[in-house]
Amino acid sequence: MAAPVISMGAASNTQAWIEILQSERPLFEKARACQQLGEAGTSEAVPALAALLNHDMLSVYARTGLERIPGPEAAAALRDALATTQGTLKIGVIQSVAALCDEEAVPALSGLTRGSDAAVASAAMLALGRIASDQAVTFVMQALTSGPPEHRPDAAAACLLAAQHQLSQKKAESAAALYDAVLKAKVPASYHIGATRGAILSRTQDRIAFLVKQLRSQDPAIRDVAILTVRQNPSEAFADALNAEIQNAPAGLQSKMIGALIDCHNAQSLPIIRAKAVSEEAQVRMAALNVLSRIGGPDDAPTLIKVLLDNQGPEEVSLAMSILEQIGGPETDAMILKALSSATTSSVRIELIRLLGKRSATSATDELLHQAGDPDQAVSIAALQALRSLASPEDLPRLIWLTRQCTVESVRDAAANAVYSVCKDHPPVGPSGALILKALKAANVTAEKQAWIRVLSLLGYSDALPFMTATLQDADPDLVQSTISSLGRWPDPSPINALFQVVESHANATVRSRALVAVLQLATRAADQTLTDHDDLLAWFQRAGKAVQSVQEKRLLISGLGRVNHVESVRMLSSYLDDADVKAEAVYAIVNAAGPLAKGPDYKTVEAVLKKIPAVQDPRLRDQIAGLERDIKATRARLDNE
Amino acid sequence: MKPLNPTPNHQTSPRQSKISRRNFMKHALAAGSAVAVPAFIPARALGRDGAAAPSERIVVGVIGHGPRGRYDLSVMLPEKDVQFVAVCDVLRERREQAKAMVDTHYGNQACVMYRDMFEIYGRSDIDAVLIATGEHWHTLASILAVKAGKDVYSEKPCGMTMGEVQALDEAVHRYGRVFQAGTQRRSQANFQYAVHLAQSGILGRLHTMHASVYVPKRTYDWLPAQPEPSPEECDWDRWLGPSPWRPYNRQYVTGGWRGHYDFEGAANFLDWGAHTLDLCQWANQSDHTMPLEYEANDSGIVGQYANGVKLICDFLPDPFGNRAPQYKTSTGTCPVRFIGDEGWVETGDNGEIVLSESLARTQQRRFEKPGTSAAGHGRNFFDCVKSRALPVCNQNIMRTSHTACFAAELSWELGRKITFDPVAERFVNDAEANRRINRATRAPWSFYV
Repeated sequence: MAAPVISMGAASNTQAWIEILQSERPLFEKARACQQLGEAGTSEAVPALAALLNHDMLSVYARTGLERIPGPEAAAALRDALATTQGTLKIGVIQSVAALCDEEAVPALSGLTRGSDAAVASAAMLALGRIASDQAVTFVMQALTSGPPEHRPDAAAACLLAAQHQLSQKKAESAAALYDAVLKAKVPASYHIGATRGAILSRTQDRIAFLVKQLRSQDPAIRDVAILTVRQNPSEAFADALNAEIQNAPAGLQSKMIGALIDCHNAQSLPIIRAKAVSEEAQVRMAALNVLSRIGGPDDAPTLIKVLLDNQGPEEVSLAMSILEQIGGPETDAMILKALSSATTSSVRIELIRLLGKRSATSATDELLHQAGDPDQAVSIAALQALRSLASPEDLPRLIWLTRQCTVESVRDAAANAVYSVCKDHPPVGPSGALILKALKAANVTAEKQAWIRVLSLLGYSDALPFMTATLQDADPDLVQSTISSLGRWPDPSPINALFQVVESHANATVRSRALVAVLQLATRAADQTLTDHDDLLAWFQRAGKAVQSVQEKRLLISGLGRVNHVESVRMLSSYLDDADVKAEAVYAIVNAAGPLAKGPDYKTVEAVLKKIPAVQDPRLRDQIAGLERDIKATRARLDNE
Repeated sequence: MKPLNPTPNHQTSPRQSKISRRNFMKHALAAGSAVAVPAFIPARALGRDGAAAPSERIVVGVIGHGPRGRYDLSVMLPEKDVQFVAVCDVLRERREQAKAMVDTHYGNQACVMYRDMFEIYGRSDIDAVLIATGEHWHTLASILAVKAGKDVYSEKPCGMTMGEVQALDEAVHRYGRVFQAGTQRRSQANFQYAVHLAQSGILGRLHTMHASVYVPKRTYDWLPAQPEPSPEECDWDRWLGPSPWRPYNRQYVTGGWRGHYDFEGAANFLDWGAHTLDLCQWANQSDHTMPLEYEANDSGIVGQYANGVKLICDFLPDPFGNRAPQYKTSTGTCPVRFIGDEGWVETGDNGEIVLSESLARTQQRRFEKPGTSAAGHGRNFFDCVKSRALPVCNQNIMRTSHTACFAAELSWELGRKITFDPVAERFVNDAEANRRINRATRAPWSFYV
């Protein structure tokens, strides 16, 4: 795929292209010849190209050729054409002269600025700015300062062009003079903005004083360009100036200065920015906080905590929180704890508590246990949520006690969740489970019993199972149903037989249905864990299958069976292909269960079941079925050969 | 309707553009004074309904409303502190579409349509412009905007030649404006993360980077001439702008300009390369420089940085289909891959992060947002308009990464190895290559204003 290599500048090619230019060939061919001459032609082509500079359509093509051909001939031809072209075509020639930076054209261009054609005069002025020779610089400066008023905007633009060139050539003094001339001239504001930037950068002696003057300008656009200049050219000197100036600046400017200060990386700016984070002006505070979010460290913690305590709005609090989360160190934890003990508003206390949790401040556990007993429910829940990750097994007795004292369901749930998290995160479960079981046995209130049964079930504490299965016979139907649901979340299938008994013998249909769901959850989880024999799994699903009635129950059964890669599973699933409510689920489950079977001796059963599957819409499922069919074909061929 | 161009005081050919640069500012200011003011000011305009107060709002005009302009506008319109007030396109149907889009969003009829971008530049109430014209107008429209005191978000590629992006960079500095190039992948979390892995040393010592690009292609041909429509329907002379004259054909103005030498630079290389090579520049912490050597082969272009890192621009024959074997097709369009001596990362527009086995366990992240969204990039621009900070893809970064693209493409065009001096911005001892840095612009248009 290499590019067609363009034949290079052999004289013969140049001659061929010249002949095209001088022929009656179509415009396109002449335009293309001009381009090719620009890429590879020699100076012999200059006259032929120059002859097209007065051609309405081809002039621009000819100029491309002339601008690109090396040597003095092209520049001379373009210079000559300044006298032989008119209007827009002359403007094009002027631009090409400028592109070649032809200093010899400066006198002619200077003359053109005084001509009657305003557009030509304008182009000539700008060309002089671009050429930026000493003679050209002198001319455009004079045009700006003492030329006709109608020339001033173009002269100012030319001065900006020339000054930029001077600055790039390290001629700062000359550049500064040009920028100052623009600043003094009555020209559009955008020119003053550009000149302000240049004037700051080109000054060597009074740069900072000049910058400060711009920062104090009444014109926001000038203040803005001063800030932009600092941000694009950061330095210690600029930072020092801003550090001093920021104290007296209006709020809008202060926030921009803060952004500029961070670009300057000046150590003296940090205390200033820190102080601004608690400024009376909201936009200044936000600007400072945004900076601290990028560079904040432990020294900023007191300021940020004050921001939290001041609580000036969710945006500031959220920003301060996010910074404090990132700042490490026990000293910061201690400061937050101190602030928590003295905070009075609920919302601030909650934020501080969450912060301690996010910082993993284990030293805060005692205080959080204290806060967890607060009468303010929101504070209590926040503390219990933080304790989920911070508390240790030594704290369990106190957490259990707190749970037992709860009278509000949401707080109790938060407390029980904290107990569960501590037990789960600190194995072995045995000692903790024993404490919880003791609490369960001592509980008198149904809600408390439900909470402990839920925790013990999630933990899978086997010593509690006899007590919990006995609860299935309790007279309180709410307790029975919640116990069934909790047992369904047991990490292994241990409670399954007790639950089957409820399914098959309980008098209440709702209770039976809930137990069936729990059974299917346990069996499905066991299938996922692949620790249980297929025979046991199939026996459970077959036993459960006799009880399923609702669509929801059927879906759970099908979902579980789909996880069992056994021919019996596929057979059972095929019986649901005729059931309109669940046939789609059955197809997915069959495809899932049949995968390995299609490659083994049971492939014929799979083949027979696949034939019963109606047309499917899902392209991915279609692909999977096609894959099974390919596997079956390959298996048949392999087994036939054997 | 007032005349779109000032009356020329010299005889001009109907084939030549008519704007008078000398009168530009006067003309533009006059145009600004004639702008219609909406009779009904909705609550949003007054800073209620969650929108920013007028003093904090950035007022924006749109220049160019093709498919990309439509997309950019759709993701920037929801910004609460931004108000689009004017749209400009040389095609009537497109400016009407743009106006409808803006008016529907704000629930009013206030958006003003223009055929001539100078009318937007002349409005003193407009702070910034979104430029999404055809590629051949990006540089000039941006330069004219900064000269008129506007901040600029310009779609990429921001220029068709090295000379154009140099001129653009200089103009943005010269007039002290904020500029963002529309290489929005720098603002996307998945690409940022991949770059972080490269810059932080998690990949080990970075040694190779892959940037996906189209197979370069271009034509110099002209399409058959068709009768020019009225300027009100389609202003062909203005559409051509700085590009050389050629006869009108509707295909050009409806997207068919792509692939034509006069309207698309670097043989389509920057369509993806402006993004993917730019990301490599960033990953290699080379925003201030670029590869020194470039050499094309059948499958791509190989570049070499001064720090020894190799850049491979892979030609993708089926960029929107199967991107294998160079890249994982699943990562999406515009994929890049950064390879270090301790692992590699690949990502693309789908947001997926693919890692070498050595890193998959510890460094895997998920990014749901597609990598193509320009919303975050636009937000970065608007924040910088307020703060006067440099945007993430500012003029300096654009200049170097675009220049690297042009150099890479030129090695393909010339069919040989070329060496570039990033400081002088010239090819080393290579007159043939240096002749291709600039092209002439059609008068009266100029990049040096």
